[in-house]
Amino acid sequence: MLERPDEPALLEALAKFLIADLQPAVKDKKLAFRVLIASHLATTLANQLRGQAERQGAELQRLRELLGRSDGDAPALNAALAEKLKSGPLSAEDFKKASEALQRNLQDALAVVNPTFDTSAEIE
Amino acid sequence: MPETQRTTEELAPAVEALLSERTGSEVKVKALQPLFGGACQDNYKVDLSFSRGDFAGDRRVVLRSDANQSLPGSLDRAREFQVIQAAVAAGVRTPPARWLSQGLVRPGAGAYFLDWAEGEAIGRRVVKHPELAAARQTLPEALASELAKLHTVTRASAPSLSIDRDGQAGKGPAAAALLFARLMADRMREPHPAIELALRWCADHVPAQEEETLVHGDYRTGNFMVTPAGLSAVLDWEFAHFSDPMEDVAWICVRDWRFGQNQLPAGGLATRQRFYDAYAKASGRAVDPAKVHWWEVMGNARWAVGSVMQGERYLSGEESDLELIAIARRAVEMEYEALRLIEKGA
Repeated sequence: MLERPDEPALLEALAKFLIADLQPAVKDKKLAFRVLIASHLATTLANQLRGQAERQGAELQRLRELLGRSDGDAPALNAALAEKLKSGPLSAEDFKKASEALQRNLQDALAVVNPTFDTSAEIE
Repeated sequence: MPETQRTTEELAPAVEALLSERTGSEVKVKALQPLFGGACQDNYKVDLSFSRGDFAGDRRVVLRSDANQSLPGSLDRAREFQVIQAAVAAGVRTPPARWLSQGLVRPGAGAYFLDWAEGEAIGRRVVKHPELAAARQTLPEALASELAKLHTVTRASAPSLSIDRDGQAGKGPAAAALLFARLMADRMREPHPAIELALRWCADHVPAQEEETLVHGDYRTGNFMVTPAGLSAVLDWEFAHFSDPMEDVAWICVRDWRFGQNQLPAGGLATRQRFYDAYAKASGRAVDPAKVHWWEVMGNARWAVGSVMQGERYLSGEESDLELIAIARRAVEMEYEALRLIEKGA
């Protein structure tokens, strides 16, 4: 099976075409903004495909540690965690652990959706 | 009353008939075109000509009608009309609403007219466009001052405003906001543990002292108009309700409304201190940073849920706008921000 260009490279080419070639030619402002969004979605997919296995593995590991489980996939564990947090109560220590793990998962998701998002603690 | 939505061609004579009846003047529609509206209104730009009376001459207006669907917590046009009247009476810089009617654009849909306001509303331009640089110098104080005027309206001063959300009666503002966020979150199709954690924190840290006034409910960069001379109009009253005034102070500070200007937390326009001070001076009400912090965490959690639900509107087939499905993926930004704010503290 041919793998060059691979899927992320194809999606990046699509994103580049939409923003660099197509968008400047679109006169309708609303449509031009949708072309920008379409380009962004293609970039998101490319980002998601690169390093996906590592991110999914890390997420699963964090969820299992947090819930003290050795089985279950990420959707099931996210559902179990959401239910636990919703029903409460939660000790300060459990809150802190959950927050740390979830912030790491969200940082990984942000690297896919919006790599320029500033995750530093100093922002006011 | 039309059986289905009127076409633009059918709408013009209906507008002429309605406004002639309401004003006693001969009214001509010189131009009428659809505007890109919000999710729950159909908006039209209308150029009118009145032969005589209070409105004699040419006048540009916006016609706002209920659309096919509404967003959770949003007011219909008839209630929005009441809110605008209360805001105008309080001196808020917002275009007056006139000529409320039913069934003008589609069967059963409320509609009214707003005077046209000039200016720029698009957030990223408001915070960056060079032509608005001088206006930006005055915006923090102007925005604080308009908010202070709005927050003089109370249940006691506007007893006819019936805008409470389902289940709000008898609850304090924070408890009502929690309930509203909870009901929305329960409609999500996927688990979001970060949203649950943020809502858990909110439930465990409800502010002790609460006040209740009319609040705008969506007071943020993107929902007011700016000209090179400064703030020209506050818009988009569909989320107005009675709540703690700090809800509005916090919402404009929510990170998503900074449009990249993170060094200026208040709407991408001012430091927190400058905006809080301006609001305190204009309102005579001290800004409690801990309370603003609570409402800002709540605002991020609610907007995270809202973003997810925007995506559902696309996925259900109800809407076909690409922007909706892109917003859904951005929910992680608000989720992260909520947890970051909790950890950072007030």
